[in-house]
Amino acid sequence: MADNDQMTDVFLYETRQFLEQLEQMALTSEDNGEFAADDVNEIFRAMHTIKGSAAMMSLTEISQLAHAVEDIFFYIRELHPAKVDVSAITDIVLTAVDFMSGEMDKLAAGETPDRSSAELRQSTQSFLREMKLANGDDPDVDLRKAKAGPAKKQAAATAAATPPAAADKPAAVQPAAGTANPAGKLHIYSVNLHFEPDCGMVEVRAFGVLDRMKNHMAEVHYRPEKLLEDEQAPAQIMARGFELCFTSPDDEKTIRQLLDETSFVEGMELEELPDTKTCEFWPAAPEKPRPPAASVAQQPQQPQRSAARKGKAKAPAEHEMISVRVDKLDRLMDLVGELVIAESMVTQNPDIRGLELSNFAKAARQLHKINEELQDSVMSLRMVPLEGPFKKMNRIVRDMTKKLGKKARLALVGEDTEVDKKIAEGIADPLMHIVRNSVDHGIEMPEARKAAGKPEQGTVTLSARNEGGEVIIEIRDDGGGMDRDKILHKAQEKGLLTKPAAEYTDREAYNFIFAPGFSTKEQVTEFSGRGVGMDVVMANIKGLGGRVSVDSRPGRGSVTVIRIPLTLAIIDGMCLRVGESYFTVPISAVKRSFRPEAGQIFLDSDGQEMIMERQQCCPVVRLGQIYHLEGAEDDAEQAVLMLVENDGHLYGLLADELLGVQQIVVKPVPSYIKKLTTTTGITGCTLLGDGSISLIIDPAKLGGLIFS
Amino acid sequence: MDEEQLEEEDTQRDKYLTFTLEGEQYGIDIAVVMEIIGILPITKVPEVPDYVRGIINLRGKIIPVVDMRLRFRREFRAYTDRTCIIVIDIDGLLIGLIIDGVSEVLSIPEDRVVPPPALRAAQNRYIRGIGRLADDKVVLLLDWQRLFSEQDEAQLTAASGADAAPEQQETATED
Repeated sequence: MADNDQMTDVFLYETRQFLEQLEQMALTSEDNGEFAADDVNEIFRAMHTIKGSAAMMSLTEISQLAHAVEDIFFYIRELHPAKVDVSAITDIVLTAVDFMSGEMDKLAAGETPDRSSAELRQSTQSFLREMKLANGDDPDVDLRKAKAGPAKKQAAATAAATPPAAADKPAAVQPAAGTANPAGKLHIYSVNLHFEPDCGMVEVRAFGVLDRMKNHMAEVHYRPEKLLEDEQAPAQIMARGFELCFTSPDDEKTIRQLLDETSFVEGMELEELPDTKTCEFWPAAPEKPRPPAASVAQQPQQPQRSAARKGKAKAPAEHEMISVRVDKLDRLMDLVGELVIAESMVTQNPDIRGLELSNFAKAARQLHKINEELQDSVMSLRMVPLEGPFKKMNRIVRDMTKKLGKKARLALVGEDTEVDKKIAEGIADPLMHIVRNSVDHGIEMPEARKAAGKPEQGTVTLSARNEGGEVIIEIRDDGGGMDRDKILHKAQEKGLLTKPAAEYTDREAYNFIFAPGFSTKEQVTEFSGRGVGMDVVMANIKGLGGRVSVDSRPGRGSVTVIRIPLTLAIIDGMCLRVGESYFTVPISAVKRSFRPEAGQIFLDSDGQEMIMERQQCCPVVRLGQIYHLEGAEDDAEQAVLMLVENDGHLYGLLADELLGVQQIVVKPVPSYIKKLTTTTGITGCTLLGDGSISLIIDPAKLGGLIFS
Repeated sequence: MDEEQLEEEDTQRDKYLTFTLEGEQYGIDIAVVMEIIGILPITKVPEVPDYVRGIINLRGKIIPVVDMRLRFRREFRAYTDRTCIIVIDIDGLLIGLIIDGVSEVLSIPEDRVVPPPALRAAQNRYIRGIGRLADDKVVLLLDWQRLFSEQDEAQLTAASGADAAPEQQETATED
């Protein structure tokens, strides 16, 4: 049972990776206006793998749909048709990806993916048919069959354009790199795999074996030759086993181990052969040199492809990526925290205090260094780049521009900025709403843009950067900007105004769009205009502990700024002591700290303490007082004043002692406590090196308490 | 796995960890008790009711602690090395209860538990039942769910829920 679950997990993970990859590739191809040979191969491969693994999971609807889409790319790859409607094919790929994603979600939720893909398959097939007709090919020729079994369908095979020589040898899998170096020491192995009689889909399993082994095999031949194409193959495999003979630089043990990983194998015979001649189905010597066409076609592409894939998250390679449950990471993080505390308990143990222990001190330093490194790497585990959610927006922009007849492109800046995984997941929805809004309301129709002297194609720029303890994500468009009067008028209609319309600053006016049910667009489109978007955005971002604001310049475009604190991430904080309590302020908000001189702090008419700083009058807050702490220093001249800036407001915090800057892990305040307090300006807590707890002050929230 | 869990539930059924608070004996379902620890340094949190003493660091986990004496409006007593914190886990929410000391684990079958008298006094609503022991002593069984999931003390409504059984614990694994 558990094994099955694990299989499903792996399947989901891999398939989702492939789907993402497919979507990106399809979109890039559409942008380029053609399918590059590499992309065709990659898409074909991805669809093929999905087909295989879906079949293995008995998800026939998905498998068959993948097969239908794969056919198109097979056709393109093999016959290089002149007329390729990139846009239409992209549509097909994307719809298929959507369908599969939906089914994956179902599977992930524990439901049965049971939607029928018949309609999609039908339209895909008829599209391929028309495409073949348009290119002057006979639509009724099944290319695969034509190639796989020329004897069966001779007429058809000749009717079809002569396929490249490579297709003549479908049974010889050429290894990825040119490892088939006969000079190197190669072992020759003969393997016969017998699958369990009721495991089903043996031909796909056999294919899986080939796929898994491909990096370990130089040259390989197997029987039955046509695994996936020949309908007789499963029966043959069941009867005689899957026979395979290959050369490999690896020793027998490695090969045996690899093969042992195959599931549902009943029996396996592995034997090293002295000579390829011993193998019945190894081709005779003259055939051995690869067909030139194949190697010419294959080789130059190789470096290109690897260059193109570099930097991309390589999807399914099991050695490079592993998915881990987040709670395991949290547990690890807790353990490291404990380790740090235990370390200081040992090194600062009262029993050894005052002793001269040079060797001990040396060892302790070493331990400390390792601990610090360990802590850093554990913290970085949870961080993921924003690339994923950002790239998803490509699709949104594409779909919308297509539907609305606008022209726009998406530019990404700083997508490698890393955020906590939770944030990366939570940001996807708000981003989608904002990007939709930008394209729908922001970017003008091409004619209008031209008339305004702007390029026809609008640009939506997504950018991300770290600023102190926050991630700042901006969505900028170069569209028409927002209409202040229209927004204020609408706000008035909805009864949202609290003062005369003229008194609102532009910024305040624009930010009305985040009010619930607010939308100025008269017409409700498919994408936006229902007025549910922006307040959902607001709620989502608040849920992540962030803020969102919008600004605009008429005729020049708008920008939406999302600021999210790096909760659960590492921040640099200045640690303060007040009485017996510790507080931490994010270093990004700290302007400077100093010991106030006599008379520097003065009282205003209400008895509020103030201090002059840069010609500005800043209120001074005694932390001991507002938090009712005992034992806080009363004499300001013995205390430390920390100037904190938030949103242009400057204020001072008076504490007893400054403990210095520390990297801290933000932990949430226990919900039980959070429920009881709302007005303290404390947003989290953290553990200090000695195990004591420090409360994290949010400069914005505390500022909100001080300034009306 | 299910069987194991069932078995565990079975062995924990009707078992209560008891502690005394100024003469009265209180009991709490053993199933929600995570561990019993000695008193740890407590970090104060501003603006919480006085019975919430603050938060502690239990091996990297930050847990709020509630002084049960103050919670039940008794006099505060300074903590000694006999003071204990019972860490309980309510659906993943960890809370430490500060008490004078734990007594023992008692088995009180459900048929020995009577509902509390419906008094007007506010305090009783945190008692889900009174267990009678063989020697005519009684144990007040805490309704931990109500004790910690209510918004605040003012909430006196919702009379039901007294029979909230202890099988809540299977969801109590995540934090």
